Amino acid sequence: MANPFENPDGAFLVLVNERGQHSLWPVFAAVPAGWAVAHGPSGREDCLDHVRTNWTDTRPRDLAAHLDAQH
Amino acid sequence: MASSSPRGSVQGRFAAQVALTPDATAVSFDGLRLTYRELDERANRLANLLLERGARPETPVAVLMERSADMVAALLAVLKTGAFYLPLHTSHPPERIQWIMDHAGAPILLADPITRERGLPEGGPLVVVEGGRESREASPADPGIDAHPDQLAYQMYTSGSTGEPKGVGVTHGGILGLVSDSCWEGGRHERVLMVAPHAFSVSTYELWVPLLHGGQVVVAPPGLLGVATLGRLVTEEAITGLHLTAGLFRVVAEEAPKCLAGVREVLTGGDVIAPSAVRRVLDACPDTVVRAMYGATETALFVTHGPMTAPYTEDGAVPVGGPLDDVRLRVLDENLTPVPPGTVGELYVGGSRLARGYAGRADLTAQSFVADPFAGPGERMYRTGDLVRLTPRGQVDFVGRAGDQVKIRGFRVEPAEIEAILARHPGLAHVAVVARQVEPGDRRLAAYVVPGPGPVDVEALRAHAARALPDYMVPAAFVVLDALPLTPNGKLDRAALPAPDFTGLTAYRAPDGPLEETLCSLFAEVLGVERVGVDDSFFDLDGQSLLAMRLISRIHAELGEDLPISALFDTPTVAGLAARLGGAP
Repeated sequence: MANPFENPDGAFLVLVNERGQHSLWPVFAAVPAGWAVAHGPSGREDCLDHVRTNWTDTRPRDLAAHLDAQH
Repeated sequence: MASSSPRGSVQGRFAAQVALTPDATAVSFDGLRLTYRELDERANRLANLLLERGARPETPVAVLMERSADMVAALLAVLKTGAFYLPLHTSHPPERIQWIMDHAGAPILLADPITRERGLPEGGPLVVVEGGRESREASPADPGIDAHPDQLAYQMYTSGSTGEPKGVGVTHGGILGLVSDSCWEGGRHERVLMVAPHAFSVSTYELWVPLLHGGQVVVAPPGLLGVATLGRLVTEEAITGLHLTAGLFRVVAEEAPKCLAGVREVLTGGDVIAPSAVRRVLDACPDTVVRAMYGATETALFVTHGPMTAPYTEDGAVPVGGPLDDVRLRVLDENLTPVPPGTVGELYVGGSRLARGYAGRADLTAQSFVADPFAGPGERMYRTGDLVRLTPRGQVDFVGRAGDQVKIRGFRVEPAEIEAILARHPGLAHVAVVARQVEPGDRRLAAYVVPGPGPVDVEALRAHAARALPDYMVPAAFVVLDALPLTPNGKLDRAALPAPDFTGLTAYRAPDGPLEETLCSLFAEVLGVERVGVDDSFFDLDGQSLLAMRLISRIHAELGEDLPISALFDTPTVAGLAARLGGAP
């Protein structure tokens, strides 16, 4: 069974939630609640490039704020 | 708003347990016993020393130690500083260990006298843990550093398809979700035998389920355990619960199922569970519960469980059961639509136990931990890569792996990682690594190599693989081809690859005398090959740890000779063992 996230020729979005977490997402599926489109539609590699460039701190945003407030 | 994980931290829960049961035994190892108070004090001193050396929240502390009470104290100490532990597998090759140290930014390294003797990787400040002597001067007071449930507690490395291991970051909330699960109720895991390496995610169960419930961790001696040692520990230490990988469970079931008779619950999983093994164990131990477990490092270990009790009469595949508390299971098709029970789909797992992701690999994280359309707003689900079907009663039946990833001896292996490592060896034009089924439940890796302009030195290539990869990832056979067979659309034609020869490379020398003859036939039987010469190395023939245990057990049954497993490592040939047993010329 082909996995929709693995399709090298598929069209994808990059989604982001309130915590700053990123998700690759195939364009054919509806965007789930609580997620916003940050990039795309575009090719798989281009979307992953966007993730690599923009999601540099993978700590959830609320945790990062909590930790930064302690120091 | 996406949900957070369960409240609290591992060290906070441990401190509460120390207050409740200060004089109960927390950990035992080789005659040494530490109460909760003693373990706590030991860990506090080491934590205070680590803080002086620079341990901080959200930073790793690498732990390259053999199984021991010191190792348990060390992992707890790391958490008490707010940092997370990065366990390094003591049997992995130095090159891989060094890669992980470099990838993690040269963190503080905790070692022990044994691993120091073997040679340590380069990194940050070194602390050699030696029964508390290393931190004698440090304060015994709890540093009082709590952790947010979303902070990392450990980072473990697994095989990655890009040719590099992936560091999975597991949170305090993930561990506490597992430990707080109702499946542990009833005191069945009061005394747990720690048999897994600390760099294997099963250690999450072995350590934190007993230690956060007032129970005892009984630490097995370092290295491989024989079935006899396992049975002795279970009896002498009155073990009530333990986890055996599916492969080890099968060996114990076949060689000595009665040794589990006093155990209240045996967990098994990590690979296909043999129904015959479940039957043998339950026949021999009618009061024991066997619990099938399924999960991944990315989900803080287990996500499903399926208890089985005597009499066990099933012949079909053993289902891995239903979800643990607060775990969401989705079986989806290629359009991300749920499939009905009985239909095969890919398993996705949601809930608060999910790992944060892969260290330094946001791209991999974003394609494996994806938006969950079936849960609350902003929630994620983990794509397991496992094909399953749900039974009408909601039980998960494991069908196989999606994609190229394979399971070898219970470990997830990306053939692409091995291909990438092999390709670094000079003189190769092409390389393909595939898993071949030798017999049901026994898959071995074969490497197909196409030389460059010149010839290829297969022995040097094998040695290169052994230096860079853990033993279960080193191909058992190397096949030199003129070209890789391709399908019409240019992909590797796996079906057209010739069957590899999994027998040895050494020139065959026949056994001399009855002792060597018996040993040769035992080697061949255990390895599943036609014949074994007296100079063939057990390990070159893909004899791995489980088969080694089986061989030692068979030698005991046939010859009445008790050999330690280390004897096989020292002299892995029939000739060598025969000489040791005193019967050879």
